[in-house]
Amino acid sequence: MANVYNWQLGREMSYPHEERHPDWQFAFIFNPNRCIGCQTCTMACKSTWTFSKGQELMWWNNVETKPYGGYPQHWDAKLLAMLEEANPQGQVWNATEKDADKKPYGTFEGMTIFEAADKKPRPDGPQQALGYLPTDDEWRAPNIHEDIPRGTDFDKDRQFGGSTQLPEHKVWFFHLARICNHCTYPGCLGSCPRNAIYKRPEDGVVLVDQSRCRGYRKCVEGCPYKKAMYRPTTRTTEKCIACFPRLEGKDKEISPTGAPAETRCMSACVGKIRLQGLVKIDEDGGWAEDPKNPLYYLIRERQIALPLYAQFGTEPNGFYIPPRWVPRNYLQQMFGPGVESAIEQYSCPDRELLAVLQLFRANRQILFRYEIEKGDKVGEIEVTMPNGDSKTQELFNDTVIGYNKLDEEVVRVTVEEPTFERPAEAHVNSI
Amino acid sequence: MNKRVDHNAVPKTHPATREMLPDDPMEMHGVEVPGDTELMVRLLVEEYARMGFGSGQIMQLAADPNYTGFHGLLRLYGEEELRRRIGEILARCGVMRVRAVDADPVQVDPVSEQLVQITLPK
Repeated sequence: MANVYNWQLGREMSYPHEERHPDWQFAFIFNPNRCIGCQTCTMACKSTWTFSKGQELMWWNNVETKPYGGYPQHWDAKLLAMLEEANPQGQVWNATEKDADKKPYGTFEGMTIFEAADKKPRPDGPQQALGYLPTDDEWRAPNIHEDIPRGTDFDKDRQFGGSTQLPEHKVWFFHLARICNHCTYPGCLGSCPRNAIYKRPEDGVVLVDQSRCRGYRKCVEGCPYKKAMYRPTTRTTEKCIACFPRLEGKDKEISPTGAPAETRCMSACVGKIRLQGLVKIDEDGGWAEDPKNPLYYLIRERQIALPLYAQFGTEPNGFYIPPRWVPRNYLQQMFGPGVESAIEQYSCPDRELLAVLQLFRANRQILFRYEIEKGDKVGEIEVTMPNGDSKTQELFNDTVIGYNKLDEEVVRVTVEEPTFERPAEAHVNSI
Repeated sequence: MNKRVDHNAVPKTHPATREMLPDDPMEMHGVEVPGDTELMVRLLVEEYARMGFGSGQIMQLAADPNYTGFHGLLRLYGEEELRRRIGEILARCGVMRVRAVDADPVQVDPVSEQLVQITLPK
């Protein structure tokens, strides 16, 4: 194993391959605060890439309900339990010492999936990455027993079997949309005995070379997010390809000048929870400083979007704005020690942050740069802070302008004066 | 006639009607997690208001059983109570409004857009 630097963990870690980095990296931010679980993204992906025979189980994009759901079922709970078993009580963060560039969330002192693999030797030797092969049962349906375990039909006679105890949940946490994270140190790539998986040097997209794949399913085992999926009809693995023709600007309808465009799942999102981008990578593998790139600003400057299960050690390039109402210990396990600060900032965003947040799903072309034209103050609203207190937020008539890779203006979004609804019964006939 | 089965057979129960056996490890046993539904309603409504949803649209979302999460809150509080809460929250946080304008599409060189004539072989 080689030693590589993982900025999300704030330290070096072992990885089956030498450190190498692409020029640009595909990355994205999802905002579960506003996801309604409509599955439009899921179907946009399904109807584009995985509608054929043998791909029935393939949901490259899925939206699951936390804490009850997961696809395949229990994927995260199972791996977290395996890591805890390999390193009891040791999976902890030390957030006392931080560095904006090298260790923005502090240091993870536990074991990654690559480091814990040795702890679980098997007859054929240790795995390259700690993992497991989900059963057929766990792949059978993407949303089984989630928000309402018995389904939306509340007729008791039609509930799921008699020998089950499935109470109707009063509280759910949030909808978690997931695609392949196109990790910097992918578990699937590290586990492949055939070197059939690679990262594209131009955009960091992780792909499977179908001519080299022999269907050993080591990648399915080694991907901690379970986004490498085996296709029985071809006996090979397939996975999210980040709609790379779009990244290459090949869709003339969206980008007539050939500028990179967002993936199908991103551009179909009706809730505007998604922002996708390409970030410039430094020679040393870190993110090149680019504060006017919306992704760089939200992830590195403000740290309001956090990686999903960074402790797995794959340096995922998918980031999430933690949902505000969810118990903090659950969020900290999922998104790391930056949760409190992220929620604090998101609850009452300042002028610039509010403007940049308007760029989510504003245009189908990928935004590489933003500018803000400042306007006058247009109102004050009351918002709820993490401790439950109210705070006054000022709104300004600011306009955020998004530019594509060719530095052409593609969209401008202006914050306007808010409207207030008065309760009808309290103001009958009032002027 | 087979007389043996009358004495030893286990009575048949349809799986959909049999009792839950809590000590059977193979039985599916769902558990609820604790949480604050008050906070959930408040923050969800604030979030939808940031997206520009008024009370009518938020209630419409809640009424749709396919939006299971928020619909669960309607089932929990009832329509009238949820409407009252939404109104109360919106009176404080307002409904945010934004205006998005796409830039005019860049005109591309017509030469690159030339159509290719496809003819059938004779």
